[in-house]
Amino acid sequence: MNKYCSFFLVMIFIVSCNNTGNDDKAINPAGLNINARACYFDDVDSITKKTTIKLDSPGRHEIEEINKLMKFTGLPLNFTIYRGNVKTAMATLLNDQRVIVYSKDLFTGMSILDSSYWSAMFIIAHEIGHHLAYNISDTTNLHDTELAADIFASSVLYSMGADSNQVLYALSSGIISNDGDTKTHPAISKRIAAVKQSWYRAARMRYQAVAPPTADDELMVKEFTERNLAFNAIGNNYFYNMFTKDDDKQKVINYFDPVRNLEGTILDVKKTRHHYTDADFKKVVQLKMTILVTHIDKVDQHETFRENHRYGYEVFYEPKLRTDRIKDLYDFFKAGRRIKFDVINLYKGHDYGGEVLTIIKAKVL
Amino acid sequence: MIVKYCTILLAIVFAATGISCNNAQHNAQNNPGNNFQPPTAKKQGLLILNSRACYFDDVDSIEKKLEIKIDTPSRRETEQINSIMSYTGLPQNFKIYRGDINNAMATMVNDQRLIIYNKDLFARIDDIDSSYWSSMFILAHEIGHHLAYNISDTSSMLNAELEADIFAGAILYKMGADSNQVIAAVASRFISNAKDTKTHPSKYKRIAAIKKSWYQSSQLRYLSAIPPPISDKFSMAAGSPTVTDGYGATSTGYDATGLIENNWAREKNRNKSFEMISSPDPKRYIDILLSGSRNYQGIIVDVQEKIAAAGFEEFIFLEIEVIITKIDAAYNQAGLELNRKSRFLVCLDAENGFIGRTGPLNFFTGGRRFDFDLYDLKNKNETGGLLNISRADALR
Repeated sequence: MNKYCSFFLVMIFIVSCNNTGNDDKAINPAGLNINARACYFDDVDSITKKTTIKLDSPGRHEIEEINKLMKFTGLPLNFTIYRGNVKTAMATLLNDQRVIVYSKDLFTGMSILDSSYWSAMFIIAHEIGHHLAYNISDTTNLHDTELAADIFASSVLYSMGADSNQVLYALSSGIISNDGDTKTHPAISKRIAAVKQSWYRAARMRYQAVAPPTADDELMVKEFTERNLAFNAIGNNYFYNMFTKDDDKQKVINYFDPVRNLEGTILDVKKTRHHYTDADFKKVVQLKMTILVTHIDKVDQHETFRENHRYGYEVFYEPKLRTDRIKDLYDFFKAGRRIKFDVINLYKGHDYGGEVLTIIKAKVL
Repeated sequence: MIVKYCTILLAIVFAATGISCNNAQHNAQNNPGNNFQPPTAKKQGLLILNSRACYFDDVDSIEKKLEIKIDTPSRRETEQINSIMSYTGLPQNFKIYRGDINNAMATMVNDQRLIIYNKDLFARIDDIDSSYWSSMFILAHEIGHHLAYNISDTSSMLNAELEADIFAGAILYKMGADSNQVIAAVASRFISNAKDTKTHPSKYKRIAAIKKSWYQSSQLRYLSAIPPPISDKFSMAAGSPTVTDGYGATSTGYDATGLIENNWAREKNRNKSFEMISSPDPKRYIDILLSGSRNYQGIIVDVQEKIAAAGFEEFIFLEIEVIITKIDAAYNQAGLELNRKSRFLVCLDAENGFIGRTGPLNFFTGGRRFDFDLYDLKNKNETGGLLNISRADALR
């Protein structure tokens, strides 16, 4: 608590560009040397060109609420926070220290059922957003920096439980002085639109896991053919004894209803040891994976597959030639890889249960 | 006439406070602007460090590398940083480069936030678990240094590292990493030290901090706002007569065929009390298992996918949290209370071609308003005492 209370009634001078911009020797009574840009929640303070702000230590409950907010970001609360005679709140950097000053009147309601609670939290979150986005000193895109702070505030308030109306109180309850664009702040309608969009986005993302990044490594082997993949799988299969060694290979594959030219992204891969003990299959490596199917060749459309659905697949690989390396297989079947592939249903007509989709051919996209 | 803000940049501050990790200051340069040549597609760039940088691991700090050759980033890492930032709600305003360092680092040059990484390390470390969470963690850690603004904090370097780890643990939870994936990078033998060094805490302290952060993040999840209503094919079809395909999926959701029959088949082999029922008619299952818990309405506020038991990988098991918004007093055998949250189970066979995986995951998701019935599988080991959903129809 000491950290926030140690500067009781310190004076900060915010130096404006038009008069003392070149004078970096503005020294206040406490001896601080301050010359920095500040971001306000609203345009009012900027208009009054307040350069001297009286500071007071923040309330204990208010710090607790701000601490709660930071928990939702996973980041430490390392701001120096003051109450001061600003109209809403402001963020600035002083001697490499992140400073937030909020109005004495900001926190009037301290329950999440109070609309003013969410309004206060939004304003504080907005200032925290300026610090986290590190855009206080960005003077070229002032409107963008304000919108970025609003977007952050909205997304963190969603996590804290603010509904789609509560997240807008700070902007819709008459605190904001400008309707249209000003030099520093965008029009209120733009801010409200950005906040709404960010709230809905946060709500959507809560239930979505991230898509894997594209695998962009240099691959030695960019394609696996039926030679390495298809016949190990079929050879392991219950139905294998239906065929003789002289049977045409394509005839064997066709029996298992191949689906060709699927496209998708590998989501995860598990290396498993195959459970066949037969000496013939000792060298066979088995992988299990989930693939998000992103494209189905309309000509070969199969009722089992739908675009943007996830399915589980297996791969059986056996090194056949001297140049075949298992490492190439592991490199190829990796989370994030976009591939084009053919599959068969190994348990076609089998009462073993469900389908085991086995990849018999795959190529990097 | 009125110029409201000072345009003097904070670069001055950074020039003054530029302190290297190991007090290895580069004295030849006075102007930090001269020390950074960004790379182009054709030409390699160079970064001469004269301000402090935060590395993921202690190795680079030991080597006291001051000149780093940098190249333009590859698409994969740029995508990764973009997706991490999209979960923070903050803009992506980092400059990203590949560099000839041992792992990854965060630093500031001319008031610009920089992240530099070693491409080979990412390929190697991701290969260990055939995943992408290790490289994701390392990048999130460096982002954490920037967001926590602790790069120039030389008084508590160990703490700064833990702060970055804690951020990475929290954000990776949100992105969907499980409790093992989140510690894979620090736990791996490639990086991180077993004992505290001058700059980095021991890997055991780091793992403990990451685990705790991951867990806290998972608890905070339940405080989020009630998700907005969903507008999709299920809710659009609500109100008009429900069309069923006979395999469990309907125009407005899922019926007993999909929600009970598969679960039933699974349980039949284990639970002897079920053997008395031989009929495959799912309607009878409802009657016998729990006939009096019907016609509830609620909003799904949370969904967790549970790991299926071995042999049932094709099933989807979900534990959902629902705020009950309407109760039919005549059919409230389960004794649910209005406006309270309750947890239920959902079991569906995802490899049934008519149900698939995406359909159920899109139906049973946050914000769904729906009308449902319940049944009791009467197997506490399996269900933890939770009731199962036996019918679900979307509401508008």
